[in-house]
Amino acid sequence: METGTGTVTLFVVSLFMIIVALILLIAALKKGFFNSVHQDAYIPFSDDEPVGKPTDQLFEDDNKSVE
Amino acid sequence: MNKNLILVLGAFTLFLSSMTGLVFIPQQLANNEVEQDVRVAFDISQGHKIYIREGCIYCHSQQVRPEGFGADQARGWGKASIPNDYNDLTPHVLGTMRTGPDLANIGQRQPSRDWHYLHLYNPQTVSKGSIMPPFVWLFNIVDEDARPNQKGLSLPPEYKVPGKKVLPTEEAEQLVDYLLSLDQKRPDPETNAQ
Amino acid sequence: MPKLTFQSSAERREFTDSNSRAIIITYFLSGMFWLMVGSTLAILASFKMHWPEFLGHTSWLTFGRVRPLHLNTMVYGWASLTSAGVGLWILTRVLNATIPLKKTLYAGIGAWNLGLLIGSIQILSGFSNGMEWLEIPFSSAFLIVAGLIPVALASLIMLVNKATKHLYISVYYIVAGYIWIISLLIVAYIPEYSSTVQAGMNWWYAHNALGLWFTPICLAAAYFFIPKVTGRPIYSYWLSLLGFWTLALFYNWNGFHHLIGGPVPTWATTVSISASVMMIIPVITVAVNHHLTVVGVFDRVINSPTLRFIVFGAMSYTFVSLQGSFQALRTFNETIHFTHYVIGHAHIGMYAFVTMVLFGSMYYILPRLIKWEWHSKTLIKAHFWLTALGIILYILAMQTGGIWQGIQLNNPDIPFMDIVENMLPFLQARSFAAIMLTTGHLIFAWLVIKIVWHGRTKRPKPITQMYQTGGKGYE
Repeated sequence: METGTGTVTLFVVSLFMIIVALILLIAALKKGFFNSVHQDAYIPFSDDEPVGKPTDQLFEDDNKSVE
Repeated sequence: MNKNLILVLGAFTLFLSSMTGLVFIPQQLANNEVEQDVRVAFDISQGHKIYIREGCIYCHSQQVRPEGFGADQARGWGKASIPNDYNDLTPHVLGTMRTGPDLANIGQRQPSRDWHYLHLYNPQTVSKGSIMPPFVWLFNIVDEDARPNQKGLSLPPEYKVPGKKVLPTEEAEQLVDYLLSLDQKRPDPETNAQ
Repeated sequence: MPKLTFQSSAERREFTDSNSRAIIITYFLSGMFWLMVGSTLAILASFKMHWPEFLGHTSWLTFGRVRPLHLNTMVYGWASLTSAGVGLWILTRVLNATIPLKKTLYAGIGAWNLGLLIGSIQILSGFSNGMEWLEIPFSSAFLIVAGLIPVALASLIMLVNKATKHLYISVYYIVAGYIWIISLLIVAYIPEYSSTVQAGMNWWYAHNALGLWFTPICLAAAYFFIPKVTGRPIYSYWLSLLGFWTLALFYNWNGFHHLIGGPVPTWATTVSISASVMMIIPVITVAVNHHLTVVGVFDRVINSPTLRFIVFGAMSYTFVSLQGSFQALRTFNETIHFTHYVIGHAHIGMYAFVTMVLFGSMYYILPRLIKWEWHSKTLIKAHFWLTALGIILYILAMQTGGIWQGIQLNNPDIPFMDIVENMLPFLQARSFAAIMLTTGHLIFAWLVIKIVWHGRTKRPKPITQMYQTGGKGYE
């Protein structure tokens, strides 16, 4: 920041970062990237491991030993 | 497919941006600024290799921060470092840790060759309580009467091995050559920068 | 690739799991091997810090060689090999795809392990490359890159061949992570940098190795396992996308905050400081998603070995990232630069976040791949508490000690040797923490051995209600 070149570079780099971000965002919007956003959150679930059903509850019954 | 492309190309472009900004542009600037024709004596560049080999960088930095930023200069560690201090020796030795003190100006701060030999052979001999490891493999321990033309290290009595003397190897000599070359004899950075 | 049809999701999972079983287990076992090596080196290095004569007369065991090898075996051995496996396995689940290029992947694992082995010998015998995080010389590091390239190729093929219409957020992180680490390694091994530029490149690389490789993989794991185990979709999917792209935008600019006040261009450190502060955005989005998804169902976290580790890791990620943003600021950095505080910070990242998430992922993946339950709940709990408390002790010791060290270093009236002595109790506490962590690792290694080579004497009981295959062969 002491020198003019530094400030200019910083400004150009920041501007570049912002422009890249905006281009990406607009491109994504145009491609319908966010249209199915809500459904995408359900990809880890399936018919036999549906939403609402916890898995991997190994410690649920602590009194019984595994062995 | 479009999503795949946005993902792969987007991720890669963002990577390229910082690669350009933080690696390639600084290199271009350095090409214009750093003295191109640095010649370093063979012993010093060998010593730098031993400095790297023994991992000195993990406890010693070689970068003095500017006046007013930390107490580097108040501790007498030297002037604020500039790119030309390093004689363009790679790998770089900036370091990130000060388990031990900064060494950017050690050649001026501690010009005694014998002190460095003792310190490398066993840091406790000259710096009681230090946690620096000893580097005994940089020394030969020979019989007192062997190699009559070479004088052993003047160890304090409690560290002497009876009937033996300790001689620095060529590697120890090169390492100390390197350490003594770390001497900021240059003019003040303010005048130098112009 | 043949398009297979399945009666149920369970059947499809069983197909992809049996298809990927051997390759994923190979990644995990390789990772476990290097975890053991890295833990041993960690204990050696830690004890040497307060006991310099300890094994101090052997050149190849000196602190300056053991410490970098500890980092390299942990980073490129344990964390990278395991991350490759975890990433590929999650891709099989969220893309409903099988792992392609298996023979190449096996060859890659072989090359990778060989590269690590040669690299270890090179570092111990004094042929280190000399830069932190990049000590493995090119002559063996190219083998590691050769092991990573097929992983990235396989992920891209899976992306193209996917059977799902949509991409889950984990896919973004994993595929990007594989591309980033290979690009990073290639740029890092170009030998054309001048001294101080190389220092900048060094920290650009090292910070990105965490930010663009381990962070994406581990966030992907958290994004998959937290919803999967709690049975709740993530809090806000839109935020997760925002988090990914802001991470991709800001994280790779952070590296120069390791060189504040050093002989590098001031504008570059300023850019890095701003980018470090901007990292608050992706961190908050991830934090909102990870933490709000488990709010109210914390019993499911407690009851699951997977989520105990992963939620611990996710909390550490929030903590370490916010800490990172603040310590990049010049005023704070002035004190903590060059101190043990930074070592503590690095271990919150690489251990409390990355390693804990990888442990958690393995707790979920291995029983499903092998169709065999973990050997002992008690040992899993012991593993969790030893590593969780161990790393907390480690961080407290390093960071409180480090701040005190920094305050003293910035006071020129305090003799340097006094600071060295004042740090000793903290370094000894760190050694104690190292023993706790290593004990935890040994327990985990035992559990992994017991589940992989489980024998056929006992049937697994339906303990976890988690691997349900429609009643076929497994209750």
